[in-house]
Amino acid sequence: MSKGLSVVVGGVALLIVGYALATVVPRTSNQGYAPTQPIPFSHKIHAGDNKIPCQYCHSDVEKSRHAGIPSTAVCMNCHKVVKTTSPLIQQVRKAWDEGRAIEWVRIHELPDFVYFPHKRHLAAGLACQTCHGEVQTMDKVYQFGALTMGWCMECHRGRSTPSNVLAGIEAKGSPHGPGQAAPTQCTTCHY
Amino acid sequence: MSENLNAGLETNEFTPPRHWLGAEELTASYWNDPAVKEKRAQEFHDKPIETLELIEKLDTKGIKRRDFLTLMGASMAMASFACARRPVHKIIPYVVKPEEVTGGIANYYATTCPETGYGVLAKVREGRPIKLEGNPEHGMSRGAISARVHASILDLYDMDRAKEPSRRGGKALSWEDADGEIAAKLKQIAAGSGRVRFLSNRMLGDSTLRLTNEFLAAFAGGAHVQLDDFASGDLVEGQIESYGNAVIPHYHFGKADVVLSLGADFLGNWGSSEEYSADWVKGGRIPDAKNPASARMSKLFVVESMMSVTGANADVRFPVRPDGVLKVAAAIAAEVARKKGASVPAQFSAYTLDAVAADTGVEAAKIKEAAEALVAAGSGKSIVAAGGLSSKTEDSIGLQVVANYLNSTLGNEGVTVDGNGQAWTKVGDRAEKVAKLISDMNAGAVDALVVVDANPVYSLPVSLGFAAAMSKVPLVIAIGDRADETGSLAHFVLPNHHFLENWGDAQPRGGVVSLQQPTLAPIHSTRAYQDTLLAWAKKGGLKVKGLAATIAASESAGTWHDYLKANWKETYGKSGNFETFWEDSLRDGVIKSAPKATSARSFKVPSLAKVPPFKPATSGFVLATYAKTSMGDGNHANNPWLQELPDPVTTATWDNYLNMSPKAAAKMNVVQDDVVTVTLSGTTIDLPVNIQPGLHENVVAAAIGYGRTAAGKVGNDVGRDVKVFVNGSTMAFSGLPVAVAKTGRRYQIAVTQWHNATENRPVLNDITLAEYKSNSKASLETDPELRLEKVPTMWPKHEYPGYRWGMSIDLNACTGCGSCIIACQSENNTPVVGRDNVRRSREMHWMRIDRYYSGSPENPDVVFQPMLCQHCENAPCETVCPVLATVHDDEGLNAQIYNRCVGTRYCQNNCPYKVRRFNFFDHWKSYEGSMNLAWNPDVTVRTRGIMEKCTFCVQRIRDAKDKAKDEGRKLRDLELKTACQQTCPTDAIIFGDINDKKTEVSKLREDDRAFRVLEVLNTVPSISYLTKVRNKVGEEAGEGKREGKKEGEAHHG
Repeated sequence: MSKGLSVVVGGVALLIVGYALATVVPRTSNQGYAPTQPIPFSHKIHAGDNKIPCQYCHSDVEKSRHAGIPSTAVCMNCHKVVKTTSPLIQQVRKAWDEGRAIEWVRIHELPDFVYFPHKRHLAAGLACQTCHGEVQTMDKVYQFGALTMGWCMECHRGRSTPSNVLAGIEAKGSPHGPGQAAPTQCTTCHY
Repeated sequence: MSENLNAGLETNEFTPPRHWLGAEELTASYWNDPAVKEKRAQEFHDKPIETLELIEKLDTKGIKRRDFLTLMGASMAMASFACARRPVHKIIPYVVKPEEVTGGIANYYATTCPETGYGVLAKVREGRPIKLEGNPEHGMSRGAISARVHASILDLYDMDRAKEPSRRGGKALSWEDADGEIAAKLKQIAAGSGRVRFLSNRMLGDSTLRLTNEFLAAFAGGAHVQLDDFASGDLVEGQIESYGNAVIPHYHFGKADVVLSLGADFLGNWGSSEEYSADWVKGGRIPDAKNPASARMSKLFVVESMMSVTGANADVRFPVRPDGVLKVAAAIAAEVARKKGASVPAQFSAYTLDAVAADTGVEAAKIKEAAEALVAAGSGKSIVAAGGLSSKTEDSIGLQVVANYLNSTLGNEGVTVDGNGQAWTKVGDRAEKVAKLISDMNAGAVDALVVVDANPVYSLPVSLGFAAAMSKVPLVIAIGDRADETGSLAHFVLPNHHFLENWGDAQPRGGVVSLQQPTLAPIHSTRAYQDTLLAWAKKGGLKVKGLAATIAASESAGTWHDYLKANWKETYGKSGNFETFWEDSLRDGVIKSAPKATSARSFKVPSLAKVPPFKPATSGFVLATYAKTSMGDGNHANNPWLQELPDPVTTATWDNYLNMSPKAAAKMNVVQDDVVTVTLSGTTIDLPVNIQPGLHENVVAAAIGYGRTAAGKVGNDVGRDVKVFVNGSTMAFSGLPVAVAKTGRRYQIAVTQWHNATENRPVLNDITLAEYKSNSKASLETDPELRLEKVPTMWPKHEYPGYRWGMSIDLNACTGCGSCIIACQSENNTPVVGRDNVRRSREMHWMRIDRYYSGSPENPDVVFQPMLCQHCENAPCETVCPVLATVHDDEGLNAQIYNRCVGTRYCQNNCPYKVRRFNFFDHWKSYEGSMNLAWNPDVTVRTRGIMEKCTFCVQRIRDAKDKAKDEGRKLRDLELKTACQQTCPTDAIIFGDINDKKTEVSKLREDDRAFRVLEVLNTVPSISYLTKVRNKVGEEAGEGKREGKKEGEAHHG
């Protein structure tokens, strides 16, 4: 067997093994995940074109760990009068009339051992878009951030922190040490 | 001690340890036994410590090895698929979100536990209650509730609850059909002789009582019988005899300098024990830290037959036979009368010091000492409390009368013993009335029996023949939470709401008015008992009276809720705006009012006739029954938290057993876990033996509340029902002459006291009050040069820029009640492991209460020591973790990071406090169906193969810090409480920031009594303990005086 051939065979074998590994070994991030929702709700139309503030619907985000998914009643606040003839809105209307909850597919999900407070991040001055991307341009929402621990830590350590947030923290004198944007204790998120 | 111990073994000189777990540790042969050495060296046991034949059938509680392998195989297979693709999860929002709900934020609702009258705050997350806490505004709870009330949250989610109405045999029917059928029958009965009987436990709510009475008014022969628990029944009887009113007095333990308990376990299981514990401890058990030389403490004498929580806290304890309690009491009474210059009542004349001393084995001098102390305390400065199952002999009313005589003679009546103002007026009916009901039932003179939230077939002694009498009643309706022993014999079982699903009120004692509101919508097709009555009244057209008639007739406002509101409006809301008042009451859970005044009642001398003539003690064993703080009368037997809560004194879980003194056991050649047969006139039961120091040689003691047959999956066939021995005519629960015989079989009781043994290192300090007065630092056994930060360390010091969390635990305040264990379990999602795993030392409680004896096995002193992660500065666990799963954080917490943990258990091996817990199994899987709603969503549910331990309730820390941050301030002292601290009735646990020298915990750490456990190891724990001080004479404080000063260090070196 010639040397060149063995290199080729070896290379192909490596590729196969690599591909096999890549498919079998679990991915730790779901970045880009964009499931189809039961009703194709468009954030672009609502938050982008019509400029409805995020917190009109995700109203718990400043109060709680969870941003919250709006109840059907929030949809109906407007859609009792807006676009009532649209077939998609009629799906919402039907669920509302039946008193049935709409089962959305979860996109952003952290493991159960992670406690992430939306509230504190907003209080620090972070914009929704920092982690969630330009949702107001998305017809179909996908997971923008990696949501891995490394990705979180980059920001907490002050490396990928938005400059306005970092400036705010430094102005107050960071309690977490120079350059640190946020605590990096294990117990900050895991308990 | 430990140093001496090792030295002793080499030189054949044996010094027994000062603090010991069981009497066997006091012998040299025990320590020389290689099997013992091996056993003590292991933290876990692969198999039960000994191979044992079990009493009847194989243990089915907990997961067996084979199941485990199956599970393992299945989850491995699942794991290999699951990781490759992300599972699709749904988010299901509300259709209409209730205004008060914010996802992730708990709401607290003030409500009331109707069984105990205690006010609770229910922590509700997204519509489901997940934890109960005491209502701080409530006069009795003041923030604390017992382990039993804590655990009642799990009863709500119990899978064995009755989920819909059913007929006998379990056939389900609709509420509509049940109402139709029952109402028609009731109508017929009302038209006839109307002999309807309601049977319930003591009802503490005025509104429920009123409705019941108004409903019964529709029946000419209607009557309501309320069952007392057996202990308080005697108390009431005695009050009627001596003072003429049927009450349970309210005792002001905080105002008493001397307390004499005649069998009354007021710190554990007798009356309003959380309230009593708080009063007693705060009133006089904490020696003054500022002026140690003039420190004073109240003194507790306990005369009892089984060692109770109260007995374990006694300064002076007299272990006697059950009949000896009365004898010692009478002798003390005669002494007191003599000292007070009063004439000694003739009834006491036979109870001379010498006769009683000879009969009971209590030294005459000790009896005198107790009498002297009572008199010396001064008028109205003492309490004599009597009662409880373990002293409930056939002469138990006589005992009550003696106690009443003492209280009146000592001037306590109307001062520390309140028999009218704040007394409990809600008492059950006398035993005669229950007997009359049973004879009526037998005679066919009862047309219908409605059993409400009671289980007389199980709870009444078998010899009363309730089950047989019930079969003669043509219509039996059981309203309750499950088809229990009574329900399964009834014609209908109508499921009642759990108290967290229902409205109601409670006026347990004078001056306490508490409101009960639902905290979630009913989980099953259950209905409130009160609504059931209203439904029957409506459907049957029954001529109910008063408010019930108005409400039943109302179309728009015809529910129990409307009834309750209307009754409150009549009773409390006459003036002002009722709606505002109602809203306020709902918010507070209580109506606040000034405590009611009291006056002394006069003692009826003729009641002394109840004191029996002196009956000499018989030879041979007598049985004493008692109720455990966890299980009580067995009503909540299906609650796994309570089943697995170690008994404070015996530290046993999951079973009852026969307690026997070490001496008697040695004589019978019986050892721990030997099964014996207990016989009383033909009735026998088999029980395993628990060797219990501090019992009279002739006493064997066993707990009631076991041997349920229809409690549910968890509670069925746990232990044996010892009420089979109770004679229905005398109602004597104790003092029964029994024969005890060895069977040769063995059954391992799941006792935790031998787990987590500290290799006999000195872990606690106890001194006498005299020692404290002469040297308040007498407790500090370790060399000051070896203490805390003085020793150089090779590790860089941790820095704590913000808070640094620390805790202080006062051993003088801890009564060992165990409420904190359940609070911790509820807060931190600690699983239940089952009997077999407890035997293997695999219990998961993050917090345990270690119980140590000192002194002689005949009558030892007891110290309780709550033990939890010490959050060491130089934590031995942190340095050995290969994956950095346990690390120190910048607030002093020793953090356990579940997702990093790979389960090497090195940390556990290296922890000198033995507080780390390893998940051998996926214990959370034992929670089925609705039980999963009880999890706290703020704490990770741990899976198999990882280590866990106390986190200082880090989720509560984060929660509190979050609030403080919102308000732009630092946390205030005591604003943040850990779950154990929150529920501690005596405030034994104080938690806070030790970086701030002004906090309560910082001050307590500087207290002269403060010590850290195993300081010589230089782990520098964040928890400091305060030395136990006993108010007893010096020479009694244990045999081994503290001669060794540097024991631990020598041991370690």
